[in-house]
Amino acid sequence: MNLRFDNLFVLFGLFALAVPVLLHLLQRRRFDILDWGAIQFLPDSISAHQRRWLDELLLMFVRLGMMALIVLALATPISTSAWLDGLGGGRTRDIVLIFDGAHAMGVRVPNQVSPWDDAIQQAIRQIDDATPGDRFAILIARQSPHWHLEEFSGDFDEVRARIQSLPLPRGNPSMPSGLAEAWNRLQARTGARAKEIRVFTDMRRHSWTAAPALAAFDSLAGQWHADLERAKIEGAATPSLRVVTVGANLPKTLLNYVLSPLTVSSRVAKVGQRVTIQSALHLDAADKFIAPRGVRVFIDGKLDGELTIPGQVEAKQGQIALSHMHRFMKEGQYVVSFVVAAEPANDVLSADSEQHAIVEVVKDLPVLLVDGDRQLSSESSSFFLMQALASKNEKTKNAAAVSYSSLKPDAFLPSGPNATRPAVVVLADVPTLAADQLDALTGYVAEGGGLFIALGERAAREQAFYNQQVWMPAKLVGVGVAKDGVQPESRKFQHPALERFRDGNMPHVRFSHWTQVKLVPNDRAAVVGSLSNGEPLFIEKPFKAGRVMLATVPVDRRWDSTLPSASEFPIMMHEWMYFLAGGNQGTGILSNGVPIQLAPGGVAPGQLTLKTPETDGIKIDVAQWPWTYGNTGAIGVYQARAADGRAWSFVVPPDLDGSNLTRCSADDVRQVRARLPIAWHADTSEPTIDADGSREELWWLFLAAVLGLLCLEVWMTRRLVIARGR
Amino acid sequence: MPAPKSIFDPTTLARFGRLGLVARNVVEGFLSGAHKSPYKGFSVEFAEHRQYYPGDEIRRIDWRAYGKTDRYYIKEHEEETNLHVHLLVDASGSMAYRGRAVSKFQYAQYLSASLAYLMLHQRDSVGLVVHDHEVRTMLPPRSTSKQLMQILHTLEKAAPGGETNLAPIWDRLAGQIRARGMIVIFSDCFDQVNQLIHALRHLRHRRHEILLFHILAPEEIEFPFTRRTQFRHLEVADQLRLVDPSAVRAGYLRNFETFCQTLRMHASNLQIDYHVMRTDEPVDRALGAYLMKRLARPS
Repeated sequence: MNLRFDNLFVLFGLFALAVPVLLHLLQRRRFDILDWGAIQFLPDSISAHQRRWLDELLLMFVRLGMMALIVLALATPISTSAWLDGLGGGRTRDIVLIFDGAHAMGVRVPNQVSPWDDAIQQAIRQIDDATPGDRFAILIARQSPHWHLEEFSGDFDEVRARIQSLPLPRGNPSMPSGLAEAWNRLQARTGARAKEIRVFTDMRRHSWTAAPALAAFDSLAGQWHADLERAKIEGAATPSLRVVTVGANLPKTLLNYVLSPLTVSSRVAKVGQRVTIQSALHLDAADKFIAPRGVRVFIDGKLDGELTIPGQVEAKQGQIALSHMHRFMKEGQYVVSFVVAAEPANDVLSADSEQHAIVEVVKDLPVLLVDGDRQLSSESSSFFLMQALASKNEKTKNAAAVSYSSLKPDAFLPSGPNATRPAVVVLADVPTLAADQLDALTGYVAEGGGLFIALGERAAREQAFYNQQVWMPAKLVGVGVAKDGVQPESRKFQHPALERFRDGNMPHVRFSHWTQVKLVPNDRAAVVGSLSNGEPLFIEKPFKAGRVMLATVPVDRRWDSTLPSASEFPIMMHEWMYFLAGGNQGTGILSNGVPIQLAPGGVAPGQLTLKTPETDGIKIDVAQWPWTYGNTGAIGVYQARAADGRAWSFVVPPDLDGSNLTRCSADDVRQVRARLPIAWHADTSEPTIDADGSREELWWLFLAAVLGLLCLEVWMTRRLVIARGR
Repeated sequence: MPAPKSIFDPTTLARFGRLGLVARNVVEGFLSGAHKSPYKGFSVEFAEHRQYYPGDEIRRIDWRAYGKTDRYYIKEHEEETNLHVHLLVDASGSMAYRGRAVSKFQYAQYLSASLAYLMLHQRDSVGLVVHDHEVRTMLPPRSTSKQLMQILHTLEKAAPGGETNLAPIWDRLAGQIRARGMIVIFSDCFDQVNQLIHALRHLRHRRHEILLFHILAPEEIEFPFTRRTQFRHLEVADQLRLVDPSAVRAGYLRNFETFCQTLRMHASNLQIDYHVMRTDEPVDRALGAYLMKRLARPS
C-alpha cells in the first residue's frame, strides 16, 4: 500500500506519542513503599499481576494508536493503492499525458536517446506502473494541439500502444495551447476524483518562457483561477501539473542547419512567369561553419536543382543567402521545397532543414480596377494599368475597370456558381468610397485579398477618408512637389517583387508631385521602395489574411508622371499584382494552427486523399463543400487530392524560433510556476505514476479507526477499573 | 455531625500517653458503665461476711465476727478466688504495622495493660510474657499492687521487632507454665497456621484456658491499596514485593480469609475464645470478653 501525506509538518505531532510512553515509564518508576507484616498472604503467583500489566500495556498502546491515528488523519493521508480504488466509489483519476510536440523534441544525436524517445520511454514506464482507476488521454502539444488519444482510456494496453504509435514531433511549439486544451478537457471530467496533467518536455525556453508563451500563460492563469474557484465551491477535483523533463542528458551545443522560410517573388504567378524563390541557411551553435553537401530544390517533389554552399564562410553563425529561379509553364499549384542535404551528425534537427512554399500558376489574374474618375476614358486613372495588365491576345479580359461611383459592393466578394473573385483590387486615385463599398473592401482584404492603392491628386485631397481606414499602410499628410521631379530609388528597393529593378535605374520615370505620408508607430507597415528624395514610394502592410500596397504616386499621367509610359511599368504592375494576389501569407500557407478549408465549388468529391507530414495518405469522405481539416499542427506539406484529379496543397512552415534549443533556466521555470495557480511537480526522481498512485484521501478512514479504538479503549478502561475495584 | 469517639477508641487512648493511665481509664470507664458489678464477690476490697449455711466448713467461720454479733459468718478466703493469668504479648516485627489507627503492638499494649489492671483489681494473679521469636520478658503471675507497675513498665519498654516464630514460643511456654490458669494471647498470629494450632493445642493440653485476641489492622483485613506499592516485610529485611495491589487484591483477600477461618475453626474446636480485634475498634470489647470468660470459669 502506498501512503503519503499532504501535510507533512503535522507529522511532527507524532513526537507527542512519546509523552504517554514516558509517563508510563516514569509511572513504573514511581511506587509507594509500605512496611507490611502480612506479606505471607500476598499471592505467590504473579500471573494475575502480569496479566494486569499486559492489559495496561495494551491500553497504553490503544491510546497511543488513537493519538497516532488522529495525527495521521490531520496530516491528510493520501493512498495510492489499487485496493483502495473501490473506496473512491468507482471514480477515476484522469490523467492527460501531454507530449511536447515541438519539432525540436526530435533532436537526434548519434548514440544518444532523443528527447522524444525519452518521453515515450518514460511515459510507457508510467503506464506500466499505473493502477486500476487511472484513465489516460494523450495530447500532442503544438500549435493546433492534437489529441492522439482523445477519450480517456483505462485500457493500459491501448494507451501503451497509442504512445508507441505517436508520430515524430513536427509541430511548432505552443505549450500554453496544449495546457489549455488539456485543462479544458479535464474540466469536463466532473466525475474524476483526481485530475492530473503530465507534460513530457525538453523544457526549451522558447516553448515555455518566450514572450508570447508568458502572455499566454497569464491569460491561462486568469481562466484557471476562475475554474479553481468554481471547483472549490463544487467540491470537484482540481488538476495538478507534473512536468517530466526529457532529453536532459543531451549536449548543450548541437550543430543544426536552419533554413529560413521561402520567399517567393510571386506566390501567384502567370504561366511562363519566372519566379524567384529565396531563403537563407543558418548554422546554429557552431564554432566554425561546416558546409552541408548542398541545398536541394524540389518542385512538386521533383529535383529541380541543387544549390551549392561555399566551404568557407567567415561569419560565425551567420547565414548564407539562397536563391533559385524557376519558370512555371503550366497553370496549377506547385510545391517548391528547399531541403538541406547534410551529414546527420552536423544537423541534429531535420524538421527545420527544409522549407516549402506554394506557387499558384494561373493563366489570367482577375484584377478589379476601381477608377477615381466618374467616367472611364483613356485619361482615366486606371487606363494605363488596365492596358499594362491586359493579355496580349485578349485585352482587358483579366483586368476590369469600374468607376468608384458605380462600384457595387458585391464586386469584391461575388457570390454565385460562376462568380470570380478578384485576386487583387486596385484603387486608382479613388477620392472616396461609400460605406457599403468600404465595408465590402475591408472584408475582402481581411479574407486574404490583395489591395493596391495608387494615390493621385484626387486621393491626396481626401486625407480624412484614407486616414480613417484600418488597412491603410500610412497616414496622408500632404502633397510633395519637386520642380525637377523625383525618381524611384530603384537600387534601394527591398521587396522580392521589385527584385529585378534593383539592378538598374529607372531613368525615364519621374514625378513632379507625390503624396507625402507618415507611417504610424508600431504598425506593421514597412517602406519597401523610396523616391530619390527619400520619401516613401511603396509601403506594404499586411492586414489580417490580406496584404495592402500603397503607392504614393499615381498610375496615370497626372502630376506629370512618366511612369505609365515607362517600359518598366507593365512589368512592375504585373509583379505587384501577382505578389498581392498571394495574400498575406501566400496561397496555402497555414500557420498558427489554421485549419485547411476547401471550398472550391462544384460537386463534392465524395472522397479525398489527404497526405500530411505525419501520414502517407488517408482517405476522407467529403459529402459537401466546404471541407475542413483541423489537424494541421505538423510542419510540412499537406496535399489533398480529389478523385476527379483536382489537387490542393498547403504548407505549415516551421517556426524558426522553435529551432532554438536553449533550455529553461531555474529562473525561467520560476516565472512559469509563478503564473500558473496549480500545484507544479517537477521532481523527476519520482517519475512513476505508481509512486504517486491513484490518489485517495484517507483521513476519514483514520478517523473511523480512531472511533473503533476509542470503543476498545473505553471497554478496556472499564475492565481495568472494575478489576481494581474488586 | 460525626459521632463522638468512645473513650475506648484506640486513637483517643493514645492521647493519654502512659499505659497506667490508659488502663485505668479503660477499666474504670468500663466498670462505671455497669449497673451492678457481677465481680463483686471476687474482690478482696469488697469482701464481706456471708451467712453460714450448713455444709460450709467450720474452719472458715469468722469467730471474731461471731464474738461481736453472735452470728455465724463465713469469711471468704482470698487465696481461693485468685486466678493465675498469663498475658502473652506478641512483639514480633509484624505487630509494628500501623495503618490509619494505632499500631497492632500499641493496641496490644492497651489491651494487655487494661486487662492486667482489671485482673489485678480483682485480685487475680497476672503475669506477662513479651516475646517475638523468643521470650524477651517473662513476669510470673502475682496479685500484688507492685505487679501492675511492673507489667506496665515492661509493656512500655517493649518495642516490636524480630521475626515471628510464635508456635515454638507458645510450645515452650506451655511447658513452662505449670499452674493451670488462663492464658491471654495478643498476637496477629502471622505464622504457619498449622504450627499455631499445634501450639494452642499444647496449651490446651496443659488445661489452660485460652483467650486469643487476634489483633489485625483494618488495612490487613480490607487491603484497600490501589497504587503500585512495594511491600517491605516488617520482619525480613530483604524481602520486597513490588506489586500492583489491584492485581493481587483478590488473591490476598482469599488467602487471608482462609487463614482466619482456619484459625477460628481450630480455636473453636479447642474451646479457645477467639476474638478478632481491629485496631480501629474500641478496646473495651476485650474486657467484656475476658469477664465473660471469667464468669464461665468454675469457681
